[in-house]
Amino acid sequence: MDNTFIQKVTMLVKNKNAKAAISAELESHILDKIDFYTEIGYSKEEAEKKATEDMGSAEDTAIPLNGIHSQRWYKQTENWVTIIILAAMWVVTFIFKNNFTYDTASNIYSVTVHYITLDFASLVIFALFFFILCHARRTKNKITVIALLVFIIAVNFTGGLQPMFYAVLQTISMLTSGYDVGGYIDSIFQYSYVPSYLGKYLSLAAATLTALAVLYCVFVILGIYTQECGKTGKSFWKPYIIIQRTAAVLLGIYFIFMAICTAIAYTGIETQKEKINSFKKQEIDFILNSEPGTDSQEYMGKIYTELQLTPSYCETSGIDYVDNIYYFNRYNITMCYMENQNDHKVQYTALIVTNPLTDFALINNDLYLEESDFADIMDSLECVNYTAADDNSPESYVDIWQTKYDSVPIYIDSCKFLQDNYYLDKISALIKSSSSADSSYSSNALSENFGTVGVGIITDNSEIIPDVRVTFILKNSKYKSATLLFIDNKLEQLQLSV
Amino acid sequence: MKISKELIKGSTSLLVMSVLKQEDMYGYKIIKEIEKLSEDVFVLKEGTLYPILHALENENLLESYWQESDGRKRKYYHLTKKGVQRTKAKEDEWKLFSTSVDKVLASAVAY
Repeated sequence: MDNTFIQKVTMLVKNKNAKAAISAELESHILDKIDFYTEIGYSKEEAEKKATEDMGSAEDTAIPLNGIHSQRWYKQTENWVTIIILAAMWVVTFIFKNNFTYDTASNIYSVTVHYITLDFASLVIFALFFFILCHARRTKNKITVIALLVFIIAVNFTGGLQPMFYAVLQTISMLTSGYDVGGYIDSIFQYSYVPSYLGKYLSLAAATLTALAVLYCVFVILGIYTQECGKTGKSFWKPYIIIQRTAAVLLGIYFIFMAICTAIAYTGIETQKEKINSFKKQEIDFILNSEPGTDSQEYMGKIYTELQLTPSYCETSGIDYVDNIYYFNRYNITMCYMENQNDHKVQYTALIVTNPLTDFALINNDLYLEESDFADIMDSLECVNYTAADDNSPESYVDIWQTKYDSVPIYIDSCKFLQDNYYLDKISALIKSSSSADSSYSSNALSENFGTVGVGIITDNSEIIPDVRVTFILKNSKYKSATLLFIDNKLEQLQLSV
Repeated sequence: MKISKELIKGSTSLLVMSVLKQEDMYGYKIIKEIEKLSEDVFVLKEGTLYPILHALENENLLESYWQESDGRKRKYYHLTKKGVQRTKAKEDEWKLFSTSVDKVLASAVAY
């Protein structure tokens, strides 16, 4: 429609998107008014003239409209606040990426301890996403929606939504198999308590959720666009309004249920920690007090009667001096028992499994050291090799440091970082007794995420040298763990695993 | 008798929101409805209605959508929940104002 009033108004309004919508709206109004005047007997030309006059001054309409629509996105504080919040949340999920992701299939040694707070962090991220999205829809803020679209893809990339779905699945598991919050508490301490039939849906659920959220964002952007361009779109909004309301109701129900579960789980965590600590001490003491060379049947029997543990048999591929390996698992403690049928020799190791990334489930700080704790002994050591661990897995490469030929021997009692260690006395006693432990075998350096206390070493000539090796998990270091090898009470080797 | 612009200006938003309480309407219909209900006392300069509608929409008191009716595409305005609450508050404010003005005027007449 060629109308001077509309032309003047659109000329004065600078926002291009708003121009089209304002023009369409004013045109519709003037056409209605022309119809009115035509119906009461005016000619078409006169009707248009009168309708235009009734609109009043173009400046009176355009100047305030221009003021309303001229705000640039970068001048709006709200946009910056939203972008900063989203960026901060993404950085958090990126930094704690390993904690947010429960997939351990690629690393057989990794035991992911469920971090309960992440269930809620993940849920809050998702809820906040929808809250901001609904607000952006109301205010027709495309920039925020685009930021949200980028955010949800980025968060999914870092696995930020996975814990939420893990918690959802865990909840479903509890509902279907009878309400038992104990299962939920156990899952905080050990990944293996996640029911395997639910685990396979984890990635699928997170991917579906992201796809829905992305679709939702696209709907909102298209909706805002159609509004701005003055296109009809009420029916277009309906499907996503249904999605939005359904999501809101489900989230609400889920929030309440998870709040109850988490509150109950929190009350049980301390008890569970104490129980696990007690088991761990019991098992380590059992190993450290064992007589080297004990008959294998007798040893297994003792484990069964004294610790009430039953073994799970494991194939011994790749370890030529061990015929059988049995594992005894209880919570995040694994005892490993190896036997050689021909020589009737046994080796026993306690693998104290903890996850260095999840302080929440931290059982015993004794197993954690800083790299700087080794500073006082490093001058006496030199790096002699850089090699892969026995299993050749790429993540298990180690730097091997040995004592220098002319250096003063390092005795276990003189290692400062061991002074306050709960097991120092036990380890010292073991070293002394190990001088006669000619039937001990090496522990296979399963050190990736484990604190290990092992006994015995075997040389290339199949000669057995009694030793004690202790593995610590390293914090704030490029190395994941440090294994100290003591022979005859002297430090012989420091293996730093990457 | 004509009412001064200043007096109308302060209450236009309330008039617009009040008529939108009944049903969703487009600009032209809003003006007609206000004229009808006020028995032609409030006759707005039609172009000035749109800045008011857009400002109310910006404050989330109104929502808008485009819809075709009688073969013409029109932008309908819908009063939001926040808009309903604001209208109620403004109406109460207006009633208090109006009653108070009446009281003052009545007592002035008595003297």
